Amino acid sequence: MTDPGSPANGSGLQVQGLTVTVPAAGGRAEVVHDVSFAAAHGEAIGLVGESGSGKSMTLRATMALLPRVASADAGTVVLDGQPLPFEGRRARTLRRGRIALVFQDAASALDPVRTVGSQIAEVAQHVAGLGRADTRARTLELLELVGIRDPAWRARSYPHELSGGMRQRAMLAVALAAQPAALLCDEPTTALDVTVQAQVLALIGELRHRLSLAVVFVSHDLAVIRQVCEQVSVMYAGRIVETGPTAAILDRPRHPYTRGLLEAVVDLDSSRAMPEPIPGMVPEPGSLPPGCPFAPRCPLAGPECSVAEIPFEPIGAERWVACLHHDLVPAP
Amino acid sequence: MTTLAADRITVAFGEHVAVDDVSLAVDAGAAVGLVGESGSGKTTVARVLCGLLTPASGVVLLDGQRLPRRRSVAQRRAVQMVFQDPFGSLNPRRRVGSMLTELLHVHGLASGAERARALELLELVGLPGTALDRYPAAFSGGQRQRIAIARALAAEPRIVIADEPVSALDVSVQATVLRVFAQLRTELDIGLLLISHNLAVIRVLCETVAVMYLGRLVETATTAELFDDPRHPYTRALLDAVPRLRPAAAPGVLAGAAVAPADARAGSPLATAVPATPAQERSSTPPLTGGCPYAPVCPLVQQICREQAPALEPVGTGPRRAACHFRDEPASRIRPAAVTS
Amino acid sequence: MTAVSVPAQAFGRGPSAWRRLGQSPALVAGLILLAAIVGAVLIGPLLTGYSPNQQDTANILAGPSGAHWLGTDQLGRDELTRLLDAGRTDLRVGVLAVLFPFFFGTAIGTLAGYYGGLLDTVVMRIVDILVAFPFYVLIISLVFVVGPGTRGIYIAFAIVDWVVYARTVRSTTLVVRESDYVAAAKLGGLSDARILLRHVLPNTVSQAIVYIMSDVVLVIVAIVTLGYLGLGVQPPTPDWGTMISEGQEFLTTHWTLSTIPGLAVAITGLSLSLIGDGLADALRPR
Repeated sequence: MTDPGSPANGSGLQVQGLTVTVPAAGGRAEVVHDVSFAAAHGEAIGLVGESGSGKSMTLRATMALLPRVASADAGTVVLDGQPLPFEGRRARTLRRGRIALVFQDAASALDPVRTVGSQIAEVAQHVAGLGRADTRARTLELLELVGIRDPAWRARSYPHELSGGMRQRAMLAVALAAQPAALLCDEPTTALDVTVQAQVLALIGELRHRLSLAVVFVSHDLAVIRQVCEQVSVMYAGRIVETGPTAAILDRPRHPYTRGLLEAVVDLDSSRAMPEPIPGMVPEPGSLPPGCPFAPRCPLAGPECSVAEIPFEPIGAERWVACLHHDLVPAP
Repeated sequence: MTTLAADRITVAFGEHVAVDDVSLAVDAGAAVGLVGESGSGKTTVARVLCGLLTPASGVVLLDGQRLPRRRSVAQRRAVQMVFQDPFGSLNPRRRVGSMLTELLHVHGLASGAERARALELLELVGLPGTALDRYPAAFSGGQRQRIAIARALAAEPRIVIADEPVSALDVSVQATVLRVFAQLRTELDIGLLLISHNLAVIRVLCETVAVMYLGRLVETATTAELFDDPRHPYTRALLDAVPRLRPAAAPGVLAGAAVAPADARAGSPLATAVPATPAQERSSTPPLTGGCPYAPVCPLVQQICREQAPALEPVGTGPRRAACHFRDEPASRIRPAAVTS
Repeated sequence: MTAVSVPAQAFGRGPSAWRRLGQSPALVAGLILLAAIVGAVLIGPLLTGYSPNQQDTANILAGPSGAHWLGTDQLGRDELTRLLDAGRTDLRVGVLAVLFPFFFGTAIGTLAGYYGGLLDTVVMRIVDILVAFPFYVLIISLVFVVGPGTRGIYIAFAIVDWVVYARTVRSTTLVVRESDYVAAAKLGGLSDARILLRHVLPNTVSQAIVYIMSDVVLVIVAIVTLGYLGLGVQPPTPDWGTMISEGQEFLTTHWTLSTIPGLAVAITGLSLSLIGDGLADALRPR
């Protein structure tokens, strides 16, 4: 299994061969299969896919936050050279303050009965171990960093007093309070208005450079990924089907699913009249067809696609794809 | 003859004015888009047009006739709605077929052959006949939306209002549902009012677009005009903010503007303008003083904007309109700012 | 859309609630137990060969024997027959007493929740007042006024017991009223009555149905308590409450006389609770 883009000097966040299973009829079914990706400090990589692609589960596994019924059966997570276990007490303690997660719904991620400032301070004090005075300064500094004006006043506000965009920024501030090395984002802007989204995305892009964060950004929106991430991995049915530089993948996809997505997306610039749906449905985990999971819906599929697992192979400068007919995929 | 029209609708919830003097028209066979972000009032307008909500002032007209507060069954038939949340818009305890036949029965349609008609309706939206005997729980989001469309069509409406019909759906599924909507217009000559915050979706389906901000209409134009040459700074801000798949230039954020009053504080390294919608600045927005509602964050703002609210007036001689004192100057003169770094 | 859910079924089955009923172990166990109890109280007294009031003064306070499986009481009456016959009475009264509260409470709660306004305010104030009084104080005073016996019990419960149903149904109705499918039904031109019956009620009534089970238990315990106080079912009709009260004086010598009826109440209550639990699971829409 080739290892796409693992940073040469071993720093940053690296996930290798991750497999996650959940209970299903007759045993367990894989919702994530052999997923690998890596983000260096200051780099943002995207995981894009629809519902059922396994992208959220991947993120949760990386954070050791899987729901009880799910388990990470294989794979490693390495942060700055240190392997992080998936289970046990050390799983949490080793990640504390080093990897942070930002969710889609800031309203439920922030404690509604505590002020924003106190939530940031809590992380600064108890995770980063700062003293009283330093914590106060750090809280204000963080609020300014995420673009919240009047930080002294806002620190005393409760989450419900903030707008959606500001809550998202506040959540970022909490996430960054302990100076993490990596930032995982799970659809952080999906619920926001488009103008607010633009700002929050710009903010994330900015912070990533300034704080040298290794960012993994999960979204279903290709255009959003384009705006934030240099590299993207496309996921389908729990697997990565294509990885490479964002611009290259979007301009010239090499996997039929990626191309299908691009054809199906409504985009402002597209010259097409109507988007083209991808026929068929995403298969349920546990009832994947043999060979390529996309084969039943793929216009290029042949009998050879349903025989064995398709290898994920490099095809040129920093691109990998799991498709036997990748050279036949036409430009969108 | 305009099929459905809202004439100077105003809706207030207590102190808060959700919709302020909005007039809108949808004709059979046409598709009108209504764009706005949270707090713009677009969903409220939709509910007034449907008859689910009574405006504080203004009327809704059907074929030129004023609709009473309590509409008759025949009047209710004419305007149907498809809602945003596919998981909440179908009664979980009714089978799909029963839901459709009930509507047919109430309106006396296809009497004696209700089930056959229900099958036809499902076929129209691309679902198999086996769906009739299933409960909504058996279906995916996209399938449920299609069932919701079939339900809306059961009453044989003249106008369908779709409130964010695809926002909750996966990308590849959106395409399917959008196609169904397109078909409605061309094959069934039904008028469509499409409400969305997603400009790309509007562009695919609609010929004319209306943009709302803080309860008011700020611009109306044909789709082509609006996207190529917006005449209201907010429209421009919306267009700029949409992330692109293949950006020609880096998508910018409307920067360098006067910031929202509560947020006014120079010197922050990431000072960017935040459109002051009620949802955004609830407790901190000072009461509007009577000027343009967009003035606090508008990059073109002048003194006149703060004093006098611009009316929705024609741009040049055309039917397109914009509520901006500078409507006659192309808004493209606001250059998108590069992301500060 | 990023809810990390364990994947749901695709275009799958369409079974009704009936099939799901069979899948809940609590429900099945409860139903079996209740069926056994009901069977016993209906048929049992006919099989024992004794009538519940048949006295046998030569044989008082006998322990369990071949002739009397549970012994006899202080008047020589067969305990087992009395127990089962009392069960008939108590179950019957229990079920009948909740009928009016259920229907009335559900109806009022639905209307109050759906229409709101003055109706809602009035209904809720009445509910608040009734709820503020201790339940047993109300029941006992009502029975005093109306007179002891089953008639008094029915009337007392009709007046007092509907409030829980009303409250529960009203709050679910408030939520359902705002749902999109109700809006769609209104748009579809359906009449209010139709909307309430076919769209609102099916989605609000399940909690009330589950509550019936607890309510029957409550009623039975109340009857038993009233019986113990002499205000309930009047002798000579046997009733678990009066049996407990009569057996009280023999507690130290013949403890079974009071305990066994008490156990019967407990087991009946258990079966109803199990059913309630199972129903709560089964009736929840997926």
